[in-house]
Formats: sequence, structure tokens, C-alpha cells
Amino acid sequence: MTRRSLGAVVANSIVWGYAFLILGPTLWVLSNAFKYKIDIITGATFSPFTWINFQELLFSRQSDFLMNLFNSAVIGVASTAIVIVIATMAAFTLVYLEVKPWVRWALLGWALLFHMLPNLTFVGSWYLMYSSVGLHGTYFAVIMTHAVQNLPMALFLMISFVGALPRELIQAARMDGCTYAQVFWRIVFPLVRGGMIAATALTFIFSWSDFAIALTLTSRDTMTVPVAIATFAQEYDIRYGEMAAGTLLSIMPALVLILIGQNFIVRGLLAGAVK
Amino acid sequence: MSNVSLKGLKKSYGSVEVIPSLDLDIRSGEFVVLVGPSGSGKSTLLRMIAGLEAVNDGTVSVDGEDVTERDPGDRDMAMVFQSYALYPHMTVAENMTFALRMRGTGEATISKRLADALRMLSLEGLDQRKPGQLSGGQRQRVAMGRAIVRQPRVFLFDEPLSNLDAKLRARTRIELRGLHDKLGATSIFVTHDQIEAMTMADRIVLLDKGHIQQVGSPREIYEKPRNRFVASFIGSPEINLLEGDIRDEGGTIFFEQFALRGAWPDIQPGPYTLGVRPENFDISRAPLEGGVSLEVGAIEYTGSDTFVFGSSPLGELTVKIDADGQDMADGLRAGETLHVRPAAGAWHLFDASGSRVPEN
Repeated sequence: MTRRSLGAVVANSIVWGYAFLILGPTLWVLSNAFKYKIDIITGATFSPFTWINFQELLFSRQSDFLMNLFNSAVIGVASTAIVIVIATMAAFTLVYLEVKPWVRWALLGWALLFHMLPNLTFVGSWYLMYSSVGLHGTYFAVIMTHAVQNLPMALFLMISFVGALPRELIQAARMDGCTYAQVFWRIVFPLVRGGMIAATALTFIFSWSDFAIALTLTSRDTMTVPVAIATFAQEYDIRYGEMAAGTLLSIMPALVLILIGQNFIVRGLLAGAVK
Repeated sequence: MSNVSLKGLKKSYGSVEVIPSLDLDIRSGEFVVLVGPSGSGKSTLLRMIAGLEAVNDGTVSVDGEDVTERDPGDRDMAMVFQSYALYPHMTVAENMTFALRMRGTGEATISKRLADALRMLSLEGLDQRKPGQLSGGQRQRVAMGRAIVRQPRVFLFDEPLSNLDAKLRARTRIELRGLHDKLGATSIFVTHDQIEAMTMADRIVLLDKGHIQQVGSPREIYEKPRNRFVASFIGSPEINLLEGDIRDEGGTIFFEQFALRGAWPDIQPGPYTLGVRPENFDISRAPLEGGVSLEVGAIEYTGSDTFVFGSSPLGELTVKIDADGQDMADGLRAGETLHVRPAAGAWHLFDASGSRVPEN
């Protein structure tokens, strides 16, 4: 065996080992979604197939899972829309209008710092804030908080997409008689659409999978999927099967979004603009 | 057709002064080339005229109308960028008509002007392509078409040929100048390439560090450079600049061993710089009276001419042997010695400050 192929074998093994570490438990959890409770508890690898967990989760009287899905969707869509609109426009302003450099750095630094601190540092304050104005447990509270939480990341992404547009393109549009607003809508917006879709996918997934904020700020009526799944584990009864089924269902939207997002981040969208 | 007038134009970035204070009048229908080394402020100047760069002080007027504070889109100027800056998500036709649509021009006018421009630039049949599907030369023509359809008062060109290969560049130079003449527009063209400047300009504006060094026709600039900078910037290979002393020997003016007959009878003796272009030497294998020896270092054969680089007692020299002297050039090898002497009347003399000493 040559040295080179030995290296390839080692590298491949590491990658496959890592993939197994991540995928193994996930697949095992997901397989639980199709098992009877007794098989899950006894740890049977191969067991009779059943839809019972899905039936319980979606159609049982005690379950609010469909409403939880709806809540997650409302919160995810609304907060993502807010984040993407603000991030794209802010990125254009920061990159192309003559904003003083210290303003840009102060804003980005503040946003990044805020994003780097753990959520749990803030949730207590947010809880108090929303409670004192009577907004605890509303969609508004979670949507706003998710927007604040995810804006820095989206802003960073959009700044790099918008900043990658050649400056002369903007100047050409200015020469052609565009105001800055028209430059944004007619030139920048169509050209960063791929970036916006990528940022949208990421922001939505973050909002969709958030636990800490939703746990603190939602009530029974506005509870999101991750919080609902956590409630399946109770003091005397852990509903493993329904947890697994809920997890499987909640992965789906994120998975679809990642696939769509990937398709849209097309390299070479700008080919032909310059040179 | 419009004239452009710049008065006391200033630009600085923070404490860095790019253009100290500049006045320039560009006549109606003129093709003016702004040329200079990088960092000379020529592109900044063009962008100030366009309105893309804020002006710190001074005015830009078109036909006597002050446009200094106007938006770039309201100055009725069109610009062709070095990178072409075509909108990648629009077709050729959409690119070219974008400015007209922004102005709300009628459909009939738009399609007529588009058709004219496509024909003029031989872009027929490509109007539904996206820029990414075009060659470099075609993109360059679309960029020009985008300017032409607007029928602006002033055309601005920011090194539009520098992304083309040498052959295409030479051809486009002629086409572009032809278009200018046909449209009768006022054009301001920025380049760092002296050949472009010399071949296309009605007048050249030579800039260095934001200061105008000389304004004049290509011929004036080449034959009567106002200072050492202009003399050495224009001309390829570069002019020979020799340092030495002027002395008066019984009525004949000598620069070192060269006798300068006639030109400067009243000159004060002292240190000067003598400029002689490579083509202005008498060259011989035998010693020349009042000449210097030249030890050949390198020989460049370009087809029509041969350039000889070598060292003389007065310093490094470049001399050109033209077609008539090819017999002499043929057997020439590095290490051999030639004898050279500046041809009569082809001297440029610069004083200690670098300014040209005028001939009497």
C-alpha cells in the first residue's frame, strides 16, 4: 500500500467515523418513532413497525402538536421576514452609502457581541420585560426576540453578499439616473437574491429550533415544537415514541429549506458583470 | 455638443490631498484625454465630473450651467467603466435601454435608438443575450452602447480599453474615435496608456499628483514638453535625460561635449538637463565630431526599428536606428561601440527646477 492511499484511507475513516457519530444516534432516535413503547424501553434494535406514535402525536386529544407546528411556523416565518428585510437594507446602507467607518464597526461589534453571549443570559430580562407590559406568551414577544437574536448573523451574511457586488455596478446605475432606492430595488436586490435565500434558510432554521427563548416567552397557546417535545418528558412518564415522532416531523421543514437554499446559492450569478 | 468647465476643483480624503486645485476648460465636441501615472488623480477627477465623487471645493459646469451639486443621473453625462459594469441580470437590450427607461422615454424612441446603437456597434442579434454570454470585446461594445443610446451631452470614459487584448485594443481605439467624430459629442477619456492618449486625443491633459503638468495637442506635448515629467512620461522608449553643465566657448553653447548651435544664444551657464528622444541621434560606427561613444548593452529589434541601449560617458542612453540604418544594426552585437550625437534642433533643455528652457 502506498503512502498516499494510506493517508486517504485514514482520512476517509475519520470522516466516516465522524458521520457515524452524528448520524448513528440520530437514526436510532428516528427509528424509535416507528416502534412500540415496550420495544423502545427494552432497547430492541429490530422490532414490529407501527404508526401509533404519529397517531398519538397528531390526533390524540391530549396532544397540541399540530398547533405547536403552526406556532413554530408563524414565529419562524414572521421573525425571518423581519430579519431578512432589515438585514438586506442595512447591508446596502452600510456598504454603499457613506456611513462613517466607526458607525459600521460599532454596530457590527455590538451585534456580534450580543450574538456571542448565551441566550440564557438574556431570557430572564426578556421574561420580565414582556411580563411587565403584558406581552408574555404572545407571538409578538417571541417573534421580536427571535428577530433580535438572529439579525446579527443575517446582517453579517448580507454584508458579505452585498459587498461582493462590484462598486462600479452601483455607480453605473447612479449614472443611469437611479436614486439609491432604485439602485437597491433594481440592481442590488435581484443580484443578492441567492444570498437572501441562503440567509433566509439559516435564520428560519435558527428560529425553528430555538428552545431557550421559546421556553421562557411562550404560553400553552403559543408553544413551539421544541418546547412541546420537551414536555413529553414528564416526571413519571417519558413518551419516547412521541418525542421521536415529533423530532422527525420537526426536522422536515428545516431539511427542505436547506435543500432549497443550497440550490439557490448559485455561484457565478455575477459572471459577466465585470471583466 | 457641450463644453465642460472646471474651476478651482479640490478633492481630499481626510488629510490626503488628491487634487489640490484644478482649472480646466473642455471645448464643445473635443476629445480630451486625461493621462498620468497611477495615483495622479485622473480617475478621481473623472468621477468628480460625473458626480460620483463629492467635490470639496470648486465648481463643475456644463454649458455654463453649474452642476456641482447635481445627482450623477441629472448631469446628462454617460460613463463607460473600466470593468464595463454591465448589469448581469439584464439582457444586452435591457442594459442599453435602462437609462432611457429610468427617464421615462417613450417606447418608440427607445427601440429606435436601441436599433441604431446595435447596428453602429455591430451587436445585432446579441440583444437578448446576458452579459455573461458575451466575449470581452462584445461586453465593451455593450458598455459603449449603453452610453450612446442616451445621447448625452458629455461622454466619460474610465480606461475602457484596458481589459482588451492588444490587438482588439488597437482596433477599438480607432472605432471609438470614429464614433466620437460621428456623434460630435464632447468626450473625456481617462487612461494611463500614453499610446491611447497620443492616438485618440484632440488635447491631452497630463496629470501628476493632482496637478496639471501640461495641456496641449499630442504633438505639442511630444515636441514641446513643458517640464522633465512631461518629457519622460510621453514617448516610448523614454526620452534620454542627461545631466550636465552648459558653458559658452567663444559664442558657441556647449552642453558637455555637445555643441548646441543656435537655439539658446542668451542662456546662463550652469547645471542643466538635456533631453533627447531616442530617434533624434546621429549614429555612426566611426567617431563623430562633438559626439560621444556608446558601448552597446542591449539591442531590441521591433521589426520597423531597432533600439540600442548602452552606456556613454554622459550616462545610460537609448537610441533608435530606423529602417534606413538597418545595415548598421544588422551586424551589431552587445559590447561593440557606436558613436552618437544629438541631431541638430531636436534638443529639450530643462533648468535645475525641471522647467523647459524656451528656445529663442
